[in-house]
Amino acid sequence: MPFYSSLDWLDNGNNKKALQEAEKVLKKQPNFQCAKVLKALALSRLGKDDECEQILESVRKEVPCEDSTLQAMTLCYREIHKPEKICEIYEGATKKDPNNEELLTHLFMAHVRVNDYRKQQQTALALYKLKPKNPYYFWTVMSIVMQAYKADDKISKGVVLPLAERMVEKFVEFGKVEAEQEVQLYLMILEMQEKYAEALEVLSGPLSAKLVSCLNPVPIRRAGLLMKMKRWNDANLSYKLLLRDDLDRWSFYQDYFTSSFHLFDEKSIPNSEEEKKEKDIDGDTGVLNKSAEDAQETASSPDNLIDSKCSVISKISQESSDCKGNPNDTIRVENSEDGADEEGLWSKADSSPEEVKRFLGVLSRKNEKLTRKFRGPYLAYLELYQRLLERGKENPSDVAGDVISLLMAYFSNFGDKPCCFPDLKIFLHLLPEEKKEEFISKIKILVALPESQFAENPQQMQQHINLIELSRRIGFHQNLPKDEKVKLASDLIRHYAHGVRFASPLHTDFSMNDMYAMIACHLLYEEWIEEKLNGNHSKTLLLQAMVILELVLSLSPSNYHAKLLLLKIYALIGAGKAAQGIYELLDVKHMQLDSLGHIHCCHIYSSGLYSVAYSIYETTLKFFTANYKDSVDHLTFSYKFGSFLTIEEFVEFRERLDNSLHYSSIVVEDWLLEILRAGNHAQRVQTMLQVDINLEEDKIKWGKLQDNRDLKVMIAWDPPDRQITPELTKETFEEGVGLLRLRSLVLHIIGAAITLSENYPISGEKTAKVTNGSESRSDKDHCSLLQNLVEELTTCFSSLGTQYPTECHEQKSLLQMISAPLPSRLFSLLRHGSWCQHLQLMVKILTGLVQQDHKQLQNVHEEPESDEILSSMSAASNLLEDSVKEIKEESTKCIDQDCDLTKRKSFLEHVVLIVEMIGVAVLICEICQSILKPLKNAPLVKKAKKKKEITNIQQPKTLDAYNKMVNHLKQTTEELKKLMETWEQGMTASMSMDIAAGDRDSDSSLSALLKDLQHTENCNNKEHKCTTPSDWFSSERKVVDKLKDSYKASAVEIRQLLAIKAKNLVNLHV
Amino acid sequence: MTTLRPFTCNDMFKFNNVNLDPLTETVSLHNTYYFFLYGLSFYMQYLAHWPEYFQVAESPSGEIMGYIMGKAEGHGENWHGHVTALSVSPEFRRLGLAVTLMAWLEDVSEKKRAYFVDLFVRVSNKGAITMYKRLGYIVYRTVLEYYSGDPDEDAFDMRKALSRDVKKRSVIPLTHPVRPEDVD
Repeated sequence: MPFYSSLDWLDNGNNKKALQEAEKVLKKQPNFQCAKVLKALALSRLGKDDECEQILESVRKEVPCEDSTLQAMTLCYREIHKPEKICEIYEGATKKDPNNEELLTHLFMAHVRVNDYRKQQQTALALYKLKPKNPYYFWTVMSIVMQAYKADDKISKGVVLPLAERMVEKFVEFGKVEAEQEVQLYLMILEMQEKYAEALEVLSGPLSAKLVSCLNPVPIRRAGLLMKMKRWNDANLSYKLLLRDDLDRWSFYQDYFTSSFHLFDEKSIPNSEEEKKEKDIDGDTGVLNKSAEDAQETASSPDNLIDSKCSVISKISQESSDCKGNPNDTIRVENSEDGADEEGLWSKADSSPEEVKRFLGVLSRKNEKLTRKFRGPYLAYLELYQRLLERGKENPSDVAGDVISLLMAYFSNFGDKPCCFPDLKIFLHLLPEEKKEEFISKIKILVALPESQFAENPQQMQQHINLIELSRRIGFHQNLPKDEKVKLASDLIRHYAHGVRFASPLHTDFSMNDMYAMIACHLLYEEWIEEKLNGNHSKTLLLQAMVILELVLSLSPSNYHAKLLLLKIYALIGAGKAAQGIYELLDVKHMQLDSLGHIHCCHIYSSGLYSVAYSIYETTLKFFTANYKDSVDHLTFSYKFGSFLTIEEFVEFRERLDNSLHYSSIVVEDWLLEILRAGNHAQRVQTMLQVDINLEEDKIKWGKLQDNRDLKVMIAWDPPDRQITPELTKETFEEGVGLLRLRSLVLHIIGAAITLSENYPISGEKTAKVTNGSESRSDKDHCSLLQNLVEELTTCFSSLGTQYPTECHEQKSLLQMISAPLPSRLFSLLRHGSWCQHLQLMVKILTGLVQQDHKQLQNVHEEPESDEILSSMSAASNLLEDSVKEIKEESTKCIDQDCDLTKRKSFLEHVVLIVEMIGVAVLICEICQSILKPLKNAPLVKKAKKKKEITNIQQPKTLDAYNKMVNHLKQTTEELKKLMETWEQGMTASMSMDIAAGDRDSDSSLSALLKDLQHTENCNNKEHKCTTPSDWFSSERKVVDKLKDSYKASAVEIRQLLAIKAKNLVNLHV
Repeated sequence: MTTLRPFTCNDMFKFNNVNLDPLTETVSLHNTYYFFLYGLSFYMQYLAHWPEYFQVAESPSGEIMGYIMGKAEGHGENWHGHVTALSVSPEFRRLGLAVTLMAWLEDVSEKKRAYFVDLFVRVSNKGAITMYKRLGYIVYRTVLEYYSGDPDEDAFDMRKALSRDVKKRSVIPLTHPVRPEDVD
């Protein structure tokens, strides 16, 4: 049957066949609704959205009620991004058939898709009235809660949430609450209103029995509520009990300390305001509260405490051990071991530093007895030390102990684990300057690895690595003189080579010794950047780092730290293709397209690899649009499964992705690139047709843009002043916003220019009509729109210029931080301001010609106007010529042996910018040509004698100037093309010399050392996996080949694009 | 030192240190292939359906140490907990974190009155298999060419009985391997 085969074809993605089959069905049964919709679906998938919508509209008017038709329509509307229409069709259907549960459910979900909370509520209520099922009731409640989510605080708390609360209470009264999720929703509503006492009551009551699916939910939630209620005494006790069962929970320690410290304060000021206030709040909340008050009153006389609190404590304690049953024996702590000397420990809050110390002591002793010790108790002492130091009342050493001993206690237990560094790094600032040396030497003694000797086993190696990482963090590497830094790097490489024997046999595991090589590379990078900032350019250091990283990757292919750093260095020196190779190894996908977009996607375009950039842009955009469409489905799932807690989160998450700065930037870059790469004007117009921008109005929600970058992904052991700070994160984000502002304006200007061209059909052929955001606009409107946009661009450019003076220190400090993102392209755009001037001039020429054209038609003759066009034309030509001159100089500097390697990047960046200028010039010339061409023929076509005369006088000048400009443009394009050829050859030669230079370099050179090294390494190591000379050599070769290949690829792509532009120009004469 | 907390959507922006690691198998499970078209759907599907089965472990410095995601499914005596993904960041390996996370998932499954917990693992992933065996899992059956790739790789379907399965019927190994399409 054709109907079903149409469905099959759709499923298989053969939309043409599906269309044919659907049409066959419709021939026999022209009113078959579902077949009509299938036809529409096939049409939409064939890219014919207009036809699709027409059919859908006609079916919609028939108000279909049949499920399969409605489902198919839903699918269609989703695919053409019109979710609001889904609501309409189901609204119609439910009106016709109001007692259909299924239709109502679909209507509810349709409202969920468009976040219409009020209508959700109405529909859910209608459902509940129809079929009194619990889920429908709670859908209503949740829909009310979501209204509070968007409302301002006063209304939400005052009206909306109490309503939701009352609805749930009604159900509780009648004993109708069934599911765990319903209780969770109840608790959520109470907590949103800060009704913690009420929430606590729910947790103590029969409803808490329904909370089964999470572990230990009641005691943990209760403790959290007690914290929120500032009932420090009870909270403290709860956390003590929780910690008794789980020695390693960091959040428990945090809350335990917070509550203890509040108790310290309360004790020292017995009748403080705060305490009074708390008592007032606690006044009416039942048993637990009373004991809290008791506890506070009797805090100074512990003897009275035990009795009065007994009932509460035993309750908490019982729940805690009931619910928290950890099957792992090593984790479970036997209560009986607490012993007599710890009597009262579990029934009394800790309100003095001494008590806290005693408590930690108990936990530590428990920990010591375990076969596998936890980090928790060791780190807890450091946390205590830190908090005491911040508080500034007690001497932290008196309470927590000497800071070096605390750090050493951790190190002696976990120094042979890779978690040592991330754990200790947040506590190293506790070391006063004068104790740093002592700390490091103590570790050295413990590690017991004399200089010039290598680790004997993996444990010792890891300890040694941690020692080096900690020294670096403390700042011991930063101030070393150059020679020593390089020497340290070579030592580390020796250790690395030696450690290969301990590497895991699994390729999927990181090799432990990799970290030696990574730190060595950080040292080399650091030294390279120092030298660079001092005006010395030492290529070798950076080249060596690349060689080492390639080697690490060849032996340890899953080490993403090495990949990220290598990618960064390649990008830094403009080696786009090499960077792309590493990017592919990283296998960046879905969310990472957003969170890691800054590492590669943002920079690849500046290296001139247009095709690569385009494909990464497309992948990125596909992810974002798919997400926007799909994440709505998950929202409906959350309602379906009653996962109410995730609903708000999903809504927020969806917005966070949709407002991603990276997303908005790539949308703009993608269009700009597509217009630039289009082979001719017709293609450019075609592209513009698809651009989803509104020329008069900005679509980007500037105030809502989100920074979704993961800037912590790159590892760094640098001291805190060389780590990326929140301020720097914000600054780099704003630079990205600035860049987007400029680029978005450029896109708008180009869009407006192309739109203008629709009024001037090229070579008689009427081009497709481009109407972005407005119906047909008059030329005059076009011109003023263009002028406004250019004005906006100029203002934006100059204000950004003031905000970011050239070569500002920020960029420098960014480069100094190895884990920081690369400096934004914004700086290159600001440095080479001629693109902006050039765009201004080109628009001036265009609008001038249009206006002149009009005046001529109206027989107005004004000489100065024309002069301005002529001068703009020559100015534009000169600007381009100057830019090419500038770039020529840069190119020789690039090839120069002693040059700064980053010059290669800035060179390519600048070339790409000039190519863009040429692209804009070609585009505007295309439009100018279509304006001028009819004028040239005017004497032949037009009959009015007067007009003929004017054109005869007027045109030759403008035409000549125009033709001259086109010629000039052609020349410049060819020149740049040739320059890229010379540059490519120069780079290839220069790279070959680099190796030779590396070979010749002095003894201090790392490469010499490395080459030495393998000879000693290579002997007697046959049974171990080992680096061999060929590894080092092949890595070096690999780097040089990759760089050569990369620069070549960039040059080739740039030349190809220039060739297209040159070809366009051939036909642009009038 | 670890903080266990429910996984949130925002974690997806920052769990790169875990997910850049090729050992993270979440993207190659055969039977859930559909969801990997845009991996995000995969995580959200679990968050929407089994939020209680999705936990993340965080270090004191705020780094994501690892995460576990799972689900509960099946009827009758086949009602069981399933480990969909378990991943620990390289820096936080060898601390027993995987053991803690597994114990946690087993506890949740106990509470849900499941009969057993199961998981799939590449037959080549010796380290993981050893660990699971140490935790009491047995190889219940081999699933042929479960992991697509070049070449496709077999999986072990490993199981551990929970207290509800008193007679330990769920962990009697099958003698013959099965095809992925026969896995329910």
